[in-house]
Amino acid sequence: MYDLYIDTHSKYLNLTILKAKKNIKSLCISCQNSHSKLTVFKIKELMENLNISPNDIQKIIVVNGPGSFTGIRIGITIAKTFGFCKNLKVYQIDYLLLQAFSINDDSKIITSVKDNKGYYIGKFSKTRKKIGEYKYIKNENIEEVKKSNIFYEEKENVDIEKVYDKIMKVRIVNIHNIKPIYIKKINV
Amino acid sequence: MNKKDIYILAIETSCDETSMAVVKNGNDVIALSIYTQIDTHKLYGGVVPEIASRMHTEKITLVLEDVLNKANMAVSDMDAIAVTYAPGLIGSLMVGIECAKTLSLIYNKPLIKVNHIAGHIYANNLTNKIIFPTLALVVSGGHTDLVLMKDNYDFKVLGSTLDDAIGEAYDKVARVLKEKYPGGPNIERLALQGKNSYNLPIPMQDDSYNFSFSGLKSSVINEVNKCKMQNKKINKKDLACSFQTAAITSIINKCEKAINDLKINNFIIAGGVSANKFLREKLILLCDKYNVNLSMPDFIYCTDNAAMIGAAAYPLYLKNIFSNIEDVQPESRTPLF
Repeated sequence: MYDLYIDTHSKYLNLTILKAKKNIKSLCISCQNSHSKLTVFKIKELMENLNISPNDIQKIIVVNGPGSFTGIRIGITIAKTFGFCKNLKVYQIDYLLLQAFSINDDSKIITSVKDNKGYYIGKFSKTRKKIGEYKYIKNENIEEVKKSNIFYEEKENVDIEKVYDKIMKVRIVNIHNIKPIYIKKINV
Repeated sequence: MNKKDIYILAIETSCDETSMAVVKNGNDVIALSIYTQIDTHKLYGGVVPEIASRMHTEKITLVLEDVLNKANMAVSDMDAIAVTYAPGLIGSLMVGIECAKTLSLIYNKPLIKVNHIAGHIYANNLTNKIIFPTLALVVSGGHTDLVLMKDNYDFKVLGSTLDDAIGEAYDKVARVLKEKYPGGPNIERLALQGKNSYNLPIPMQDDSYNFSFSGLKSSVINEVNKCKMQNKKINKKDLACSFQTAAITSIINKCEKAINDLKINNFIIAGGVSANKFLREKLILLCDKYNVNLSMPDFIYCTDNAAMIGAAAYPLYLKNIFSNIEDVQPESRTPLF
């Protein structure tokens, strides 16, 4: 049986198929504004290349934000639909925690997701416990945060194999309750 | 040999309703599920696109579960998956489309992309079978069109609005009269209690099949301003009734001209404004006068719903018009005709 990892939170589309915790096929492509065109299509291609069917998937890991609102909704909708129909375990994890899990640094760290106007940031302890709430910091204020903390910029992709065991410890919620984290408030 | 029944799972998320339906043979609604966001958007006086997209994402699998339970069927029992791809709010359309693509992938079912306006037209098949050739009056927030249909998906536009669509005009008049969202139904409710006392001009009394409602809307604004200047209280019920009478009379006049000119025996109406009772009454009288067969969708199929998408997908299914997963993307303004 296989696991499917979906990350659509940034301009990159990251997909990975894992078997027994090992990455057997992954894809990282830059697809600004093309997540809708490419995500399901590339999942199909990956499975076809491996000669596996959707019935062979047993778990889904989906990144639920923060970042591009539209991108996140695409990944979440696919994960929810797939998981609901096939009665799969779906693990939702945010990118800030995912990146924190992936960093070998025995200190408090800040991980980040950048957009045009600023950064979503998360602070984590040595044991990668979340410290305080996630925040959105505008570009003009980010240098101060970078100076006084160990700050990690967002990466194109995360080695999912390396953080797999940690993800499996994330609490699973009812599939209908899986939803994006937005952090930024919208102006109405 | 009995013809095999065709079951289509249809998805509609173009605006503020998350809806799914199972439709048999394009005319039999086996199950319909609609989650409406209207109470949320009422708080803001109109649909907020970002909120609509968020709510679709939250509800999509709940609606899927509900429709399958009501139908007592599984996705694997379906012959195809249909989804609205245009026109509508991009972020909202996207949620339905991603769900449809995923279902198509995991169950290996053909994917059918459906234009929302075609959905409104084919909603007629859920009540009475459309008989061709037919005249179709499409009236909604974005459309006022008089269309000749000689066959399935064969549209010849005879006339369209030159400015505001009829539903848009109702909404704008609602704002002028300080009526809450959704404006159209509120204007209709007021109009039913009023008298046609303002004598507003009937638009577009010409030889074309076109419509125009912008001037009529300006007349309403002028009446409101006149009252303000004279320190008089506006009679909202009478003004709504006068507006509705002028607008619907203009539509009926154009329909009458088309029936006379083209000698067509069948007439259908489509779109959200087809739920307007005054319009329905006037069309019944008109079609009775000329012995024309009139089809109107049931009220539940006049507003946005997925059953109409399933109905519109059926003729496409019969012609094997399917889409590849990578070719279905949301489009905000793609016209049907």
